[in-house]
Amino acid sequence: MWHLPSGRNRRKVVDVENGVPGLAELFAELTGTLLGDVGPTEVLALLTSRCPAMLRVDSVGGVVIDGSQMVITGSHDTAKSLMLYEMQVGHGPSWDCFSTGQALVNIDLTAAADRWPVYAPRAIEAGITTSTALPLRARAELVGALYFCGTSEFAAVRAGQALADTVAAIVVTQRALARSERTASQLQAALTSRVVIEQAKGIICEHRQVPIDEAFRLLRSHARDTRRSIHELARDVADGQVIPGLLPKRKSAAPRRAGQR
Amino acid sequence: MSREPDKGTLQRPGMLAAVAGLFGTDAAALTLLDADHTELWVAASNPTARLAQDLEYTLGEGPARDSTAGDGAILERGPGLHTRWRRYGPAVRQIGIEAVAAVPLPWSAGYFGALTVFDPACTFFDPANAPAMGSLRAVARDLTIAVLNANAQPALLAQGDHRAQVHQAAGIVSVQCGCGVAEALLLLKAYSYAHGEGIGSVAARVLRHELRLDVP
Repeated sequence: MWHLPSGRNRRKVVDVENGVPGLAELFAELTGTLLGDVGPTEVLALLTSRCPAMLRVDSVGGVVIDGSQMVITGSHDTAKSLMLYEMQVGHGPSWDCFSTGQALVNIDLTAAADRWPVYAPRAIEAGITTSTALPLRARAELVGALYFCGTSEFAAVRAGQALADTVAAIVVTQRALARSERTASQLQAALTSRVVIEQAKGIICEHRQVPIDEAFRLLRSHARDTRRSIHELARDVADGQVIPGLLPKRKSAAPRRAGQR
Repeated sequence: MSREPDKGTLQRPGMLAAVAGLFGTDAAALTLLDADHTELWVAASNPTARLAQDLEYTLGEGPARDSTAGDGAILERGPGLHTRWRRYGPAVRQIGIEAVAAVPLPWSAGYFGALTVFDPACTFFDPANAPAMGSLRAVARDLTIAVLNANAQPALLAQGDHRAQVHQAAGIVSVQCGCGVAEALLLLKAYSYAHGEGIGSVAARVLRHELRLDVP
């Protein structure tokens, strides 16, 4: 058991055996964001705003990177501006963590001037001499980093990494959902187009008294000649429009004798 | 009465036959819909499943439609089929189907299709066996992922069709009757229902110029 110091300014140490109070609620709140229309900024902000009190860390910053897009949040301005600075200079604990996927725990920044010549002095100037960077990673996919300013206890690092894993999984899921949404709309559009092309083929077939295959050839070559997309042209045909050169005028609806029946 | 399914759709039941097998039957059907719930694409594991799917299409009522219209999971059997669907119920029982279970294919903007199994194992109807319906939902979710996966999509779509002949026939009928294609589709469905002839067979005869719907 950890010894809990008493007194007005007692520092409530993270209790390894009994867990971190409020942790389960935060997990539930984080995963709950998947049910709503929430982006990476909100999820990351939720994480960084809750971490300091819960994990007894001075301040916390977070970054999520998607191609050229970047989201940065922080529990305090120090954490946020340091994180921003790090991304601008292109080196530092979070940057390295995002690049390699390796956690950097309780790094002594006063001894890191060689490793991060621009970043380390700036952090020290801001009053940060020790820091921890944890990867936001879902399987092999690195999506960002979580940054703790000050010394972090072992249990805080462990809980922090579990939270980081959850946020990474949520970010990856959000991206997959956005992708599948696009794919589903594209699939519906493609299938609709197929249906409309069949209807247009039928109209041309009957109107021009040609076989179905020939109807498709006429549709395709008219689209090519008039530099229109075949889908658009088929839509106009199926809507019953007059198409000069393809369907000059709507045929009269006068009934003819059927072949049989 | 002869109800024939569309030709050329039953050679490769692969995926849906496997899905049907999971639920103790050999009849399963998958339907993809557009945002307005208009049917875009269909696949069936066997002729019975396709017949049932064609009946739902022709009659405009049935489990796939209901499950995507917001009802979620659908489970009906025996007389319940008649009660729920006045026309579809008796029609599917006539082709030997006694029970149906259907779940929607979910995505963020709602549903974009439905998975139906016909005559599933009786465990579905055991009130103590909620997992059966849960498994069907899980399979529907997996199918959603597969359908939306660019690598899996072509092979999967090749196992079904978009009722090409029915839509070609609708085009022909629209010219013959001087109406829109939507009305022409309704005429084809009405003919199919009135004569107890499968919609695929009706469409094929229109395409062969053996049948005109504008001649009494």
